[in-house]
Amino acid sequence: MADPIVAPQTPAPVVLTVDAGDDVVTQAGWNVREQVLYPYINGSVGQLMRYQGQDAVRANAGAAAANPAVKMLMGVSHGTSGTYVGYGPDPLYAVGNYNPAEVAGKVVHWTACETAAQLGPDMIANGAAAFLGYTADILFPPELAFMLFDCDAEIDIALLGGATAGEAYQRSVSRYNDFIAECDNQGKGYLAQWLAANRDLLVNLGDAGAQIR
Amino acid sequence: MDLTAKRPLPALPKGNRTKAERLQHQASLPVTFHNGGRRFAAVHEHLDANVGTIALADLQEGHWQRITRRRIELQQNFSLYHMNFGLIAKSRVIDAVRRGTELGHSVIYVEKAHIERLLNSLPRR
Repeated sequence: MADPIVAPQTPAPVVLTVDAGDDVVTQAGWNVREQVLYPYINGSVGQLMRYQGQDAVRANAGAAAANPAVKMLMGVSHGTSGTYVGYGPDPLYAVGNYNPAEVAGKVVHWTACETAAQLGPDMIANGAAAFLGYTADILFPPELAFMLFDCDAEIDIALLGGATAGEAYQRSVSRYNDFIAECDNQGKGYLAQWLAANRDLLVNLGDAGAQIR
Repeated sequence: MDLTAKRPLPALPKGNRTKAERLQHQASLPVTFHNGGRRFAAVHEHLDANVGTIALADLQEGHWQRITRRRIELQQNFSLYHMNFGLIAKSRVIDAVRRGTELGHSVIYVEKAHIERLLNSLPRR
C-alpha cells in the first residue's frame, strides 16, 4: 500500500506511460516503476494512462498522446537513436513518423537506448517542451537493475512533484550519485562505475524550466 | 510519499562476499602489464615503484582489450543487461571485447574508468 501523498496544490496532470516489457530487461524496468513510481500517480498527483505489454503500440499510444490534457509521455522500452520502440517491436515514435501534436508542449522521458541522440532533438524541434533520455546504449550488470531504474524514475517523481525538467534531471543525477557513493562504501566500486557510465548518458534537452503542472 | 523530498536509499543486496573480500578480489585483478607487455600486472605490482609496469597512459587499445577480457574471465559470475538485447552471457561479452564491437568498446570503457578510479584512490609506494 502506497504511503499517503503530499500533493502540490495544482491540477493533476495526465501522464501517459508506454512500457513494452517484452524481454527480461524492459520487464525489470517496468517492475521497478510499478514499485517506486506508478502507485503514487493517483488523485491530485496525476492521472496515469497506461499502454503496457501488448498494448504498448503506436495504434494505442499515438492517439492518446495527441490529447492536449496529456502533459507528459514516459516509459521503459527499447530504442535506437531515432526510434522509441514499443511491444513487438512496434515503432512507437520514429523520427518523421508521428504527429507533432503528440509531443507539443509536453515533457517526454524515454528510458531506452540512444533515443536522446536523434529522436529527442526531433521531438524538441516538433514542439516538445523538454526531452529526457539516454544518448547511447543502456548496459549494466543485472544486480544494478533496481538501482538504475530507480534513479531514472526519480525524473518522473520530481516532475510530478512540481519540479522543472532541469531540476528533475538534477534529482536523478543526484540519486545516481547517492547510489554510487553507497556502492563505493560497500566495496562495490565496479558496480559504481557502471552506474556512473549510465548516469553520464542521461541528458535533458529543450526547456530546462518546463513543468508538467 | 512527498514527491518534492529526497527519498531514502533502499538497502543494497548484500552479495556473497564481505567488503574486505570484494576489495581483495578487485586488487587481484590485472590493471596493466609488466614491462614488455606480455604478463599482466595486478594493482599491488603497478603501485610498487620497484616493479616495472606499463603506465596506463601508454596502454594501447589491444592492451585494454586483453586486460578487460582477463578481468571478466576472472569474475565468478558475470553477465550484462542490455536494454535492447536482453541478458548477455559472460562468454558473449568476452567475445564482443575480443572482436572490438560497440558492446565490447562500452565494456572496455567502464573497465578502464574503473581501473583509473581505483588506482587514483590508492597510495603509491
